[in-house]
Amino acid sequence: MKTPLKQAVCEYLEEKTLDGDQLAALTAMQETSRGPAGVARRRRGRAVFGWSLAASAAIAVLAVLLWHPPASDRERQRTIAEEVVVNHLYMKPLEVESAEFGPVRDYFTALDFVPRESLLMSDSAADLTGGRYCTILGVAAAQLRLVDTAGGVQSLYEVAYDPEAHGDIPVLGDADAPLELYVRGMKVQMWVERGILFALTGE
Amino acid sequence: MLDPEALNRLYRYAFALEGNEADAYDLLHDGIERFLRSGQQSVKSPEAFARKIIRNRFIDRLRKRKADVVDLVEDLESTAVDISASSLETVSIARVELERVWPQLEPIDREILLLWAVEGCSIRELAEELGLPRGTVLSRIHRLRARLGKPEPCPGRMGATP
Repeated sequence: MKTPLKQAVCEYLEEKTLDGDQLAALTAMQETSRGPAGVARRRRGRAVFGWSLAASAAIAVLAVLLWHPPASDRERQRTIAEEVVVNHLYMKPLEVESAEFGPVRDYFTALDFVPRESLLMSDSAADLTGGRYCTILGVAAAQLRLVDTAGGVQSLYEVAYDPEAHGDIPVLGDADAPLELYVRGMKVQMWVERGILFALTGE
Repeated sequence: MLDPEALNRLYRYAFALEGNEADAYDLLHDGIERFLRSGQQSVKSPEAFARKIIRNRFIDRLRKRKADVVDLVEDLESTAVDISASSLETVSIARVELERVWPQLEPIDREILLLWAVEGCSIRELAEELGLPRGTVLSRIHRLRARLGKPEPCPGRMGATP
């Protein structure tokens, strides 16, 4: 049955809504940005236009800090784990496909770090299949996909480690075991290696 | 902060540009991330600002896909066609047909449909929003009308044999 075009387009588009996970991820991203780390990141690189402006900004930042107390390390890491799991579950198409690390690493030219192979993954039975750009707490990151012999899919995320934004995360080589969290039934491991934050999740 | 309703409106806008849900979410995520990094959340209309960012990111993506950005803002010859946004008001379409045609339309045409049907934009507002000459918008509407308003083939004559 035909309906007027305007009505048909409205009805069709009204049905297009974000699901609960997508809304949660976007809301979490905004809340993280409102925290002190986000404020500090945005302030970097801005020119100082005078004492009065600086004083106003300081007052504003103080107000933000008072209104939004700093998130604890645990809260930040849970937010990262949530983002990692949601990204993994979506299984977006790979932008580069290769079983070799070199071509995948070379694809990520727009990152402010060089993706590395983690020593922790050297004994892994999973094989690399490719990667795509993603974000962790609003910062550009690499998402690598691996598949093990049983067909299980894992996602390994790499982002430049920022203790202020990410909190205190175990550093590989300091005899620390990776941090482990469970989100939506999925295990997420996080560790720092050579200045890169790695986050691994999957089957 | 953009509330869930605003996020859903932006998602529909991204869907109009990309034509499919997976890429729409990707574009929206990318756009919101840029929006937050811009530090402009306190502008008068954060949603409109975020929408501009999403559109710019979409154009960047088109460039990266090796598509010529002209595909988006194709500069049609603004011939004197007797058409207005209200011309689309007379078009009727079956839902199944709209779903079939939607991904095949040019991004600019889907954007026009969203702005016209959902936002209620006039020709002047469409031209301002899209940054296109009025004649170009009219030409696109003319094409849209021709494409979406095609009369259904007569079933009795389909596949008729001599």
